[in-house]
Amino acid sequence: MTQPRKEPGANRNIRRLKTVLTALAAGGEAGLRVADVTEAVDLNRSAVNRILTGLAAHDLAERVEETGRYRLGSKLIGWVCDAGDHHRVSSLAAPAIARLALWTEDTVYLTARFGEQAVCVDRLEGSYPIRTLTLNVGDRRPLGFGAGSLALLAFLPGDRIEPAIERHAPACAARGLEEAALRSMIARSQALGYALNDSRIIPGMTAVGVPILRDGETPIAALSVAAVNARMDDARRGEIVDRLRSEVTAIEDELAGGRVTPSEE
Amino acid sequence: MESGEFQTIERAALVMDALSTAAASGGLRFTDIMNATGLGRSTTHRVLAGLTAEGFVDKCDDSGRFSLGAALFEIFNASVGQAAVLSRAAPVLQGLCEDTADTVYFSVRLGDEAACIARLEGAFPIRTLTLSEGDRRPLGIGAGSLALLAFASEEDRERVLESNDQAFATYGLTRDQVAGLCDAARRRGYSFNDGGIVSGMSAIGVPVYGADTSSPAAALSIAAVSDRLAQPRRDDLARLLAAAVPRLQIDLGAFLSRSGLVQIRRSLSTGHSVPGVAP
Repeated sequence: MTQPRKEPGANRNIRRLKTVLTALAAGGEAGLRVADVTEAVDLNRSAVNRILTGLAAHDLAERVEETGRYRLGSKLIGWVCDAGDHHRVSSLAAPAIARLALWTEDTVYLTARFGEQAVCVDRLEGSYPIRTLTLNVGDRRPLGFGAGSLALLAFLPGDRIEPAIERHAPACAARGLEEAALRSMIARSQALGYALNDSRIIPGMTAVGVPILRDGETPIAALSVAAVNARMDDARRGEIVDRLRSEVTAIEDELAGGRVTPSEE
Repeated sequence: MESGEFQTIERAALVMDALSTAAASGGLRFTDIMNATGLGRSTTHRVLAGLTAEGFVDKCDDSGRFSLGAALFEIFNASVGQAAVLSRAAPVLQGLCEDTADTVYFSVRLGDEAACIARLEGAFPIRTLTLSEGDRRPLGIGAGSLALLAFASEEDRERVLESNDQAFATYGLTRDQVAGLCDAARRRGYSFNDGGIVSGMSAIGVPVYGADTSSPAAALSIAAVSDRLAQPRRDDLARLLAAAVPRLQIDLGAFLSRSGLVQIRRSLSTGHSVPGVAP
């Protein structure tokens, strides 16, 4: 097997890391034997051994003493938590999410933008017994798909919307939201001033989303509320949007006020 | 090349740690990463390129800053699905479902809350689906959650009753009412929620202990329309539940150590205290 002399070793190794970590994640708490990992990732045993030892040395994997099996380590969980708290948005939004869930009795989501994707980083269910739980914490969606994600796309600065639509339309279409429908939802959201997803994704449920802007222009996250259609008539939807907006304004003020500016020249 | 993987992991961990520390302030610029990690320019470039290609790191178009990426959630999701933990519990839950035709829940304790991690629906046409997988309730609310609280050590129970006082109110219950439900559960040997939360439905729950035998780590519960939980069927179902517990054979300690960590980090980041953990 020939390899170019300056082959991108770091890239290849990082891809291997991801493969091994994903296998360990699927292996759950009991963990996997080295042989199980070797089989799952299609690498040779010594490479897997080196990777597992390296991961364990950095708390990315944990070797279970009694069984010698490996499972995910605590550091990875820490990274996941910090990733969800980019710009402290998750910490700042937590009380707002609790208030919204209490008041609306419906499901409240916090969706954060990670480049090309929207990730649900928090969810709280209200007390109403019919629940709309279409997203779990950690779920990823293309920008535009779902109310929170739609808010992240529709309220991008003007010149960035068109390229973003072009990039995300295929992924949305793959999930059953055609480009024409996506465009009309974006236009309507812009006209309304909030993202509205009325049963295009799941019949019977409606969701509204308001973007959280940083510096008054870039959406970094969105708060949204989802409910069954009967609980989202025009009047109630207006009230929910008002509440969402006032919570979002408070979060945006805190983002602006509490900003840490590290060593900018 | 022998040490290639080691070195990559070490450098990747350095970069990710730096980005993790800087998450709250919105990520780092390229030079910030060099300074924080002590890595050279070309090494930093290579490692970042690899991490970005795999989605571990995200580069912001606007600011040019790097931050933690969405691939972490992909891995996290694969783990919180907990296929491995639940695959052991699944046959037991399935058996209960078939025997009772009602809805069976499996919940674990996370701090002062209970989280439903599995739900199986029985064949009976009226289903009671008040909890979904992943839902959390304050300890004491709902039959499984009530079993977790009722069978906790006295000290633990008193503390949770105090700290969940306000949470109880949002479900229309007082601290004393929940304490009364706990006392009744201990006398009876199982928790019983008689429609106090959603009228027309009832549920019973039994505790499941992990390595710590003073307070339960999980609970099994069954919910049905209230008619189906009248006596003598209720006691019969409770016996079925109790008999199923030893067959669960789940490494709860390990499961909880991870879930607990997420809970602790969440609490620290929102400023709420977690009992037993020094801030």
